[in-house]
Amino acid sequence: MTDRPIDLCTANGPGRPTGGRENRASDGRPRFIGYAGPSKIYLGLAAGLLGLGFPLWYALALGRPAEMPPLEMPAGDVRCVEDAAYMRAHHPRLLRQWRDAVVRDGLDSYVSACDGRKCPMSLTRTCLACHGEHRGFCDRCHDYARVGPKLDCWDCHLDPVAKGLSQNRRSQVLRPRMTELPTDSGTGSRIQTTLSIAPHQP
Amino acid sequence: MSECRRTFLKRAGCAALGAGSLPLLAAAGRSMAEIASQPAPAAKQWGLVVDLKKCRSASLRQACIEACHAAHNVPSMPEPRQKIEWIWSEPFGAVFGDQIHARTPDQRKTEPVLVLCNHCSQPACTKVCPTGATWKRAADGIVMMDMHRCIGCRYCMAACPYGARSFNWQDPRPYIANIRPDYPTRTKGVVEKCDFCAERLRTGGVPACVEAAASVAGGAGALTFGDLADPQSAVSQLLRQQDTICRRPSLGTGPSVFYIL
Repeated sequence: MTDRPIDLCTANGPGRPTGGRENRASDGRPRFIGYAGPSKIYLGLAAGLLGLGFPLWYALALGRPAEMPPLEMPAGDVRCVEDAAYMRAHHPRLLRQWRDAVVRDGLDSYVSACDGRKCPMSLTRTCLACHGEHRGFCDRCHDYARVGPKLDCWDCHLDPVAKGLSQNRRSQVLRPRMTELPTDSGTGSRIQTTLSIAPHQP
Repeated sequence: MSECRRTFLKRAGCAALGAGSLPLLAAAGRSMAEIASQPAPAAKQWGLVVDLKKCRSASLRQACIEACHAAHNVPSMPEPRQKIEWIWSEPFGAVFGDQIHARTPDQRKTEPVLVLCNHCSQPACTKVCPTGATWKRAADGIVMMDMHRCIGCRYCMAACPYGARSFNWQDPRPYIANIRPDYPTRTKGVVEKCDFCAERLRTGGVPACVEAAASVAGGAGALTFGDLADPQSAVSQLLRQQDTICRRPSLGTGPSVFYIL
């Protein structure tokens, strides 16, 4: 063995001749096998980005919003418990407040923060009294907006229209029960209620 | 030198112990004072007194059960093991097993008794519920169910010593003869039981079973409902005047349903 420094490009181990071929170009620079050249790389990158960015540029260039299905709105001149903008933005919050107030706190009525009217906190008796069948309103918008896996209120709460009840029984349940209240009791907090459990007088 | 360090460490230890325990003592003193100064709770506790003699009438029991089950959309399941009941009838011997002895007449043992959730003051069911779906409502003492939270684990059914709870093994809707639209049904996988007609109490009414019993001939006073916390209420007066028993008092659950012998 000699002390000669080993050339990494040519040293293939003892007893393994290079066969007279070195991985060097004629000017002495290392040669890389399989190098495609700069133009092909940029072409490939551009094609890749174009492909990956398809959802973005396609939506920017040609996309249109999905068509909003027509909602079945209550007929006639009815006002919701709160104004439409509040309901659109916060109906889940309002319904959760109602649920907790009724089930957990034993309360009954809700006083509208916008005009002081009073109504029972009931999905079936209050909401459906105006909105009618849930399929035409709740479900349609939730499907459009892809909200949640499924709107499961109706597994337990009844939709008298969807259940095919007679007009007579339906009207017994679904008569609108909003009542006017003196305005002083209605302003201020969104949830409130008048009622608690009255003492039983036998 | 070593003696010196030993004494120093002893004294330091004593001092640390003394300084450390001072806040504890102060806290203990404070909490005792707070407990002493709290006003006695003025909470209501709804209760029911059942007159066993009047419950011998089959039509009365039937009226109570039907009124309750119709009011709450309780299904009639065909499979007995899937039965769902809020109020039902059972023989005295099964309800008051610890009141039966070798010489109890058969007539007494087989006497039918109306049973329902006892709305205990120390309910075992609420303590095991992992989601808070069942709880003792502080305002009126009702052991409530929140079907939105129930995950159907049935711990409460195992914990209840009175078997007052039923489980929905399948969708109950096909088994409800006439669905009452303004009361929700339940869904598959939740536990249900009597809630003393919380929806009727909310608007000042009385439970459906109490109303139904009173409407049957001879049923006046069969079921008496009222506030146990109020010494002037009808239930409190009955409990003072009559010989009453409740189910398994030795368990310490403190039932709110009593039976006049």
